[in-house]
Amino acid sequence: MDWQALRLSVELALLTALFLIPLGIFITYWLQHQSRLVNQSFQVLFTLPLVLPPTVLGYYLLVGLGRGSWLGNYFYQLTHISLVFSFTGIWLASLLFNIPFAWLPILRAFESIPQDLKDASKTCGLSTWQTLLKIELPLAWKGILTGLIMTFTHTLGEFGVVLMVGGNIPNETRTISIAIYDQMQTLQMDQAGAMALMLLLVSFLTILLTQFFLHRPNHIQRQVT
Amino acid sequence: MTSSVFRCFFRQIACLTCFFMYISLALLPTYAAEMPPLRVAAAANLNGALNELTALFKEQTKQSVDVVFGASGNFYQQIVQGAQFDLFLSANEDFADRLANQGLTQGLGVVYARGRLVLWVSPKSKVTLDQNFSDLKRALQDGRIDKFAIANPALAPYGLAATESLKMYGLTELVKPHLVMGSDVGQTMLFLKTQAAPAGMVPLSMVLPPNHQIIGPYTVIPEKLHTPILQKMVLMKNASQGAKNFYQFLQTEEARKIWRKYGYE
Repeated sequence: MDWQALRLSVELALLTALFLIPLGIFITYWLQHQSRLVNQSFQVLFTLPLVLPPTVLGYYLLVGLGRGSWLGNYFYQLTHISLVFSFTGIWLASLLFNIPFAWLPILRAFESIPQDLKDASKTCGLSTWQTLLKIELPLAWKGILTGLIMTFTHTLGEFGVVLMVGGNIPNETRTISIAIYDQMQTLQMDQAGAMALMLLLVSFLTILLTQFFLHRPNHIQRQVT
Repeated sequence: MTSSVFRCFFRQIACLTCFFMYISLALLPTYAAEMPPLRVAAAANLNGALNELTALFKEQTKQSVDVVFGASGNFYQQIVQGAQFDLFLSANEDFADRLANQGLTQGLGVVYARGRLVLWVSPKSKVTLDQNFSDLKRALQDGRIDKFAIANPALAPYGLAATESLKMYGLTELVKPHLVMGSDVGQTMLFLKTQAAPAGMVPLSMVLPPNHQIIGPYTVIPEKLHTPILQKMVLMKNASQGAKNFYQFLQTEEARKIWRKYGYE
């Protein structure tokens, strides 16, 4: 069992999810206040990773952020961190690749909040900021939680883009899915089997946990009944 | 009311955060006060020999070595793009030389082993490997061999040697419809080991007894039929002192004995 790879995967998934959730809320909120054209174009842009083959994203990231590109080169000169074949690289790739997984559930949750409620809160003298904090966020928490879980599990299982942008470097970019692939390639079937089972269990438990949380009634619903 | 809603909302989040934190903490391995492991990129044919060598090196110096196996051409690409390795063991001279020419290495590297290629068939295919492969040719036509595995010649020097020798035997056209390519020697071995392909061309080091990844009849391809597989290693620019020691260690007489045991010359 490659514990190092599992730990790396969990770190990557946590960092990705915790970064993307506030971003998802921000994007949702920001898009609400844009013109229809801007709104639609950004919706297309942010949904794109959902249908984009990982190799396409991998290609553009390698070309755009590799040592040969001005951005990758400049960043390396500045910080001595490579943007590809490093943990930073796969984190960046995960962020881009997971935008729709974090943002879409949040968007749907915000969309389902009736306009009446928001109007009412304005009438009661709450500012936009207060409305967000006291009305919208508590009502949208299921969407936010779904986004968090989706991003976390999806990052755990990410393969194509990590292999392309990260390679297979122990304790740097060898995540658990890459480790399984690597063990297959080096003919360690038993190890690969153990890790696959582990990942299966983690995924199963995560979904079970989500179901448990999501099927509890909302607090507002609870108080109404 | 709002405060209770708020409290409940944050309690959920706090519960989840604790759960995830617990997982990640539980997974933190207990770090012993040790030197950080060396990071070595190695051609896939070294899987076996290099494992024994790193174990011996660790026994002698307490320095552990993390080896990643893959196609030499792949590692070449990754290193050019900025992947951080201490040492690169290529399966040919070309990839190592090209890195040296780009100023990414310390010194010009050294040939550490000379590899040989074999043609292997599964015992189940009941193919006999005679002098001019007449039975193999029949088997390719009558369906006993439906897949013939080699490594991708663009990335793996052993794959290139395989295509060259197939050409010299005049087998290229016959094999072509049955050809399956592994991304590196490791994947090619996986095809053979899982019986997905009943025949293929792989490094000698993979079929010799100390490694014994696959068992079955094989024949060593004469070296004059392909470009000699001179495997070169280079130290990368930012290699640590430990990496330099390992580089030296791989050239000692003690290491040479192990190389020879795995079929390298």
